[in-house]
Amino acid sequence: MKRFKASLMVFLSGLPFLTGKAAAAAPDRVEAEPTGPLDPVSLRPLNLPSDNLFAAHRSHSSHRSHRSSSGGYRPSPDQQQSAPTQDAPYPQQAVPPARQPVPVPSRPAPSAPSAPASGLAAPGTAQPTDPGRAAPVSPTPGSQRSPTLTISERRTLQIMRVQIALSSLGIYSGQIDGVLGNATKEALRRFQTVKGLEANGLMTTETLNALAVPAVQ
Amino acid sequence: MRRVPALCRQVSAQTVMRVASLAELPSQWVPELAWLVPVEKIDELCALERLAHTGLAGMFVCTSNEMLAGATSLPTIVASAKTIESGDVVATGLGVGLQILYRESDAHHTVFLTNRCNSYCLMCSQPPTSHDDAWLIDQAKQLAAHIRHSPAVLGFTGGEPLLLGKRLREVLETFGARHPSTQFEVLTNGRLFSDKTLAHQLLHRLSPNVCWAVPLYGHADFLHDYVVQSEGAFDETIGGLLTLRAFAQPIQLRVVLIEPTLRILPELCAFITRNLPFVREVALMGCEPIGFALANRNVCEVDIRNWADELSQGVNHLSSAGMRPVLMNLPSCALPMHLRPFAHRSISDWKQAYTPECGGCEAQKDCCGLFASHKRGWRPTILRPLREVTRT
Repeated sequence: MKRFKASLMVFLSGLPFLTGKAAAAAPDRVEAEPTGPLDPVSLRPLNLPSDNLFAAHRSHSSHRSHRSSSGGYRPSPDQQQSAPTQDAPYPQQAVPPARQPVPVPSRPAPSAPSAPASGLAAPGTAQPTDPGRAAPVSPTPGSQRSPTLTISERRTLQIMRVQIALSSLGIYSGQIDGVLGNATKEALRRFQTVKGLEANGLMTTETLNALAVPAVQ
Repeated sequence: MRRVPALCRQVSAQTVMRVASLAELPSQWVPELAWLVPVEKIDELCALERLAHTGLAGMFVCTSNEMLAGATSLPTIVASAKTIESGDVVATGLGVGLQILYRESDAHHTVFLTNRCNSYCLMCSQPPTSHDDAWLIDQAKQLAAHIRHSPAVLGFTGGEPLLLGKRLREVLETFGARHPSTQFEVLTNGRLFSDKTLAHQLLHRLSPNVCWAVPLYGHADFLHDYVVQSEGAFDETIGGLLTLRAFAQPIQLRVVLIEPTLRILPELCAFITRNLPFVREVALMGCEPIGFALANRNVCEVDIRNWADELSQGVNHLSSAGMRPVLMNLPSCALPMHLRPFAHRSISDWKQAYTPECGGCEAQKDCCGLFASHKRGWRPTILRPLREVTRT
């Protein structure tokens, strides 16, 4: 890092149009956080605020269309006909849906015995992300595309995941039912207090990140 | 595929599960899948039991600790933790033991669709049986759901996958829907594509990315039919290839290098370039010394180094015609220097090996090594380590 600073300063001081003031100001801007090999790295958080659809209680129309009024989650893998699908299929990853899922081959295989024909390139190789930089792809790259879920089903699944996490931590012993009831909220509050977050019993983005639960999108 | 020793308690046969640790459950769990969770300590077991008893479906315990196994009412598989990895997709078989259908860390992935076949190739590494194994189709569809990260390439094999009839399309579309970025490859003799109805059912507007790998062993019917031990196979396979062409499907030809085929390899390659110019790749493959090959050693056991001329001529014909020759299952020391660039690391991880003679070889990282079955069978040639300087 010192070497980097020095060379950049040299570069800046060499620029003819920089005044003495700017050159003096430049070192401050160049002085980024020093990242030695043992310093904590800044990574992309598990969930960005935009990923979390159920951050707080939102009163919008999709809440009124709770079709699964029989309570709980209706697990049905071959959903295409049965579930009321309001939303486009989503890749199960915490990046904007526009990005292609990146498959993860274990090693950069030059070709496999099932090597695709030369005209068809392997759909991208997963380069190991540089630990010094924010990860450009989702923490769960290349996950499979699951069948479409309605908004209420996604919320149910997310609550279930939160309940699983809280149960594994030993602070929730109620039913894993995907319902944000009093017991679940209480456990969330306890968790949030311990972690120093605002104890509001809601599935905020910070809470999900602290629980290491990816938001269901 | 790998099979690991395991004792199953209250787990029904042919249950497909994904291996996930307790810590991974909150981020992975979905209701339609089954989960095999390794636990070794009592507190892990208690946490898992609490999850299962408070309504979390699909939990299966995996432990090597007999006492823990006895202490739980959950369905349990007793197996060593070293035999399974997180992300594995496993299935209980009909007897004891656990099959590892899919392992994320493997370089090559294959889905097994049936053990039935309509050919009886001399060197078949998977000798066919005739009983109805349609349950493998449902297992394949379950496998599609349980794979977490889409692989770059996924192979389908058997037996003969076309014997699934139109259900093959069901399997391919299931995988295509779940893993849209994956390139699929179906290993088939193509003979049943001569049935126009089936061809239409399987190939018309097929949306997943599928490449068809079709074996061809001779440029005349008596040559090919002899190797596959089936009269009329050559005509049907050529017909199948032309049908695939009619539906604009990508094709890779496969040639296993046994003696009757090596003898006519240059002519076969010339035939391919002239009569099947739409083929993209031709894979020339070392024979795996397993299955029927062991019974037909006199034609299957060859020293590849003796056939360097035929290999060279064949590769020349193919590359001059703009087709891509690929050498598979042939260790680098078996090949003349100018052919080594065409060789690929093609042997599946779990059946690949090197030998003591490979010690000190500097080409090892690019070399596919040997089939693990060489110990019961034979080696492709007299192995010797290669040196960087000369690489001769």
